[in-house]
Amino acid sequence: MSKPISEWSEQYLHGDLSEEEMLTLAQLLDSDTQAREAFVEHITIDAAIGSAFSGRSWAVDAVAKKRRLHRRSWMRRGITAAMIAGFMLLGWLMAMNADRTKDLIHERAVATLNSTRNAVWNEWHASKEGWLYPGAYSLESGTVTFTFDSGAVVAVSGPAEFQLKSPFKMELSLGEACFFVDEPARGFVVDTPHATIEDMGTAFSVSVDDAADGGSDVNVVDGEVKVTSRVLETPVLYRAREAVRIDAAGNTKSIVYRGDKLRIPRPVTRGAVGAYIHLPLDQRWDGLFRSRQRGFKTGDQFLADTRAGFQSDVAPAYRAGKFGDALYFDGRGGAPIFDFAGGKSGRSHTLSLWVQVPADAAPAESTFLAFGNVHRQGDQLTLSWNHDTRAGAYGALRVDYGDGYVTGSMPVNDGDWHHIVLGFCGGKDARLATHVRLYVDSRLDEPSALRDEEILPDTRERMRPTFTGFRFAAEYPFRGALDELYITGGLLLPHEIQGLYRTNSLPSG
Amino acid sequence: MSYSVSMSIERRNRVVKQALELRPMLVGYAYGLLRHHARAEDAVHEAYLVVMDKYEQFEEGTSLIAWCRTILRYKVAEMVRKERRLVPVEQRILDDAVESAFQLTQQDTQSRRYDALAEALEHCVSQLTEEQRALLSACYSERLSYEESAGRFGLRVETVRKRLYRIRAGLRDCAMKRKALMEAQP
Repeated sequence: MSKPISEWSEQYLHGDLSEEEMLTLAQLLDSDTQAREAFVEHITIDAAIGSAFSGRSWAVDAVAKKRRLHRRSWMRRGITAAMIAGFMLLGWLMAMNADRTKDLIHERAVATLNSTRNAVWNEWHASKEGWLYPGAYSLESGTVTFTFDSGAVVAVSGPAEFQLKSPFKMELSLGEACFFVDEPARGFVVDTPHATIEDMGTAFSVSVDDAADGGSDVNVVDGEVKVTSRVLETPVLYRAREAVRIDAAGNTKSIVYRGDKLRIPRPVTRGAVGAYIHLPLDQRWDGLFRSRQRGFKTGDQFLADTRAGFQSDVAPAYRAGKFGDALYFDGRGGAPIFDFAGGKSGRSHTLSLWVQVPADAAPAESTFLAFGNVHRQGDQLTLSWNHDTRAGAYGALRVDYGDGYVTGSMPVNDGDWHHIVLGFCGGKDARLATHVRLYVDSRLDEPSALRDEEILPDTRERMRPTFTGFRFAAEYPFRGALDELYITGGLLLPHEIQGLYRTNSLPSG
Repeated sequence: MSYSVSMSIERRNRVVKQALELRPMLVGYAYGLLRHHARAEDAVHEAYLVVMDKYEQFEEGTSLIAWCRTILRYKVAEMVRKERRLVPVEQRILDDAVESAFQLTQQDTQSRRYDALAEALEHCVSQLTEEQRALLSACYSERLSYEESAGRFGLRVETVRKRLYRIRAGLRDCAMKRKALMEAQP
C-alpha cells in the first residue's frame, strides 16, 4: 500500500482520485481485509461527524453552551470581585442589568426563580424575567428558591456554591439545599464532591462541607433517594427519616436525622391562572364549539363551524375522548380554524392538549395543529409528531417554525392518549432553541434534536390555532384524536401542567 | 384492537426500532456511495420510510442491516439516476468495490460499537475550538461549499479544504482513542 488508507478515503470522498488510482483502490478494497475495514470505518466516522453538525444535534449544542458559559464564568469572577460591594446593596432583581440579559439571551434556561430572602450573590446567570441558566452560582448569604423546568423545587441557603447543569441535574459543592421532587421530575440528580444523590420521588436535603475532613449529609424527609459514594460507587437506598454522611474517603455513616428542622420548599402557589381559554372539544347540537375563557380580550373566540370552519367536505367526527368527547380525524383532511382574538403569539403562553395517535399512523399524518397567519407560507408554527428520522426521535413531539424545529425525546405515536404541552417563553429575540418547552404526560421532554430559528416579530399577530388538518404548505392530513385544548397566557409552572394532566383543570385560585 | 393487529404493530415497532439503531452504519453506507452528506441523510430517511411500510417483508432471523442496506441501495440508485451523469468505467468498478466493502464489513452486531463511537465523538466535538466548530457548521449545517466557506471566513479555498481535513482527521483520531479508553475502563 503506497499511502495510508485514511488518505485513500479522503481522496475518494472528495473525488480527487485519478482513473488509475480508482482501480488501485478498488483492488485494495477487494483484496485487503484490513484496508477494507479501515476504509469503512473512516467513512462511517466521517458520516457521523457530518450528522453531528448537520442536524445540530442537541448534544453538540449543549456542549457548546457549556463551554461558552464556562468561559464567561471565569471572566465574570474577576469583574464580580470588584463590584461585589455595590451588588450586595442591591437586591436580586435590582442588580440585573440589560447587558447581562442580552449576553445570555441565546442560552436555554433550566429553572425559574420563585423567591429570594436577603440573597446576596457573587455569581449568577439569570434574566430579568427570573429565568436561571446553566452555569456556576455563588450565593454569599440569604435563601433563594427556584423551580427547575422538570418540576423539582429547590431552596438553597448561603453561603453556597452550586451549578445548574440541566433541568434534571444540579451540582452542590458547598452549602445546604432542600429539595422537593414530585413524580414528573423523578430521577433528579444532585452531585456533590462526595456522592451522587438520585431522587426516587421525594423530599430531602443535602448539605456539603468542603473542608478536608468534611462530607455530604443527606436527610430524607419523604420517599426514597439513591446515594452513590464517589469512592465505593455502589448505590444505597435511603428512606424517609433516614440520614447519612458520606465523607471524602467514601465512608458512609448514619447521622442524626434533622429533617424536622428543615424547610422543604413546595411548588409555588400563585392562585388562578390569569388568562386562559379552554376548548373541551365536546360535541354540541348547534355545531359550534363550546369554550370557556377568562382574562383574554373579548372576541369571537373559536367560532368555527364544524363544516364551514373545516373548509372541507370531510369533517372530523366526535367520539369518546380522554375527558368527554374528542375530535377524531381520519387522515383524509378537514381543518377547523379558530379565530382567537386574545393573546399575541409573541408573548409567553402555554398550549396544552391531549392527543391520541394510532400506532400505525403514517408519516404524512403527523400534524396536530398550526398557529399563525394561514395565508403566509413560512409564518406558521406547527405542532406534530416527528416522522423525520433526520430530525430527532421518531414519533416524538415536534415544533416547527420556518426552517427550524425542536424535537422531543418521548414517542407519542403508540395508540395511547398522551398529554402534550408546548410552553413558549415570550419576549424579544425569541428563538426555538431557547424559548420553547415541551412536556409529555407532565414530564419535561428534553430535545433530541433541534435546528434553531428566530421567531420573528412580524408573525406575532393574533394566534389562530388550526386543528389540522393539514400543514399549510404541504397539506398533510392528521390521523388520530385531539381533546381538551387549553391556551393560557404566560408559561405554566410544572406543577400546574401536572394539574392539567391529572384533573384537566387549572388552579382556580 | 384485535390480537393480530396488535401483533403486527408490535412487530413493526420492533423492526423499526432495531432499524433505527443501525442508523450510523446506514448513513455511513449511503455516504460512502454518494460522497455527499446531506444527500446520504436524505437517502437514509427515504429508506426508513420504506422500512416502516414494508416491515412485514423482513424475515426474522436474517440480517436486518443487509435488508436495510438493500432498500437503501435502491434509494441511492434512484438519486444517482436522477442526476443523469455519465460515470466512467473506473468509477463504476470502484463504486462496486466500495459497496462490496460495506457488505463484507458491516454486521448487525456492530451497532453498539458505533454507539460507543458516537459517544466518544460527542466528547471530541466538545474539545473543538469555536473556529473549528464554525467551519464544520458552515460545511455540514449550512451546506456551504469550500468556496463559500472561504468567502465567509476570509480564507483561501485550499486553506478551508486543509483545515477541514485536519479537523476531521483530529476528530477521528480522538474518537478512536476515546472509545478505546472507554472500553478499557471496567
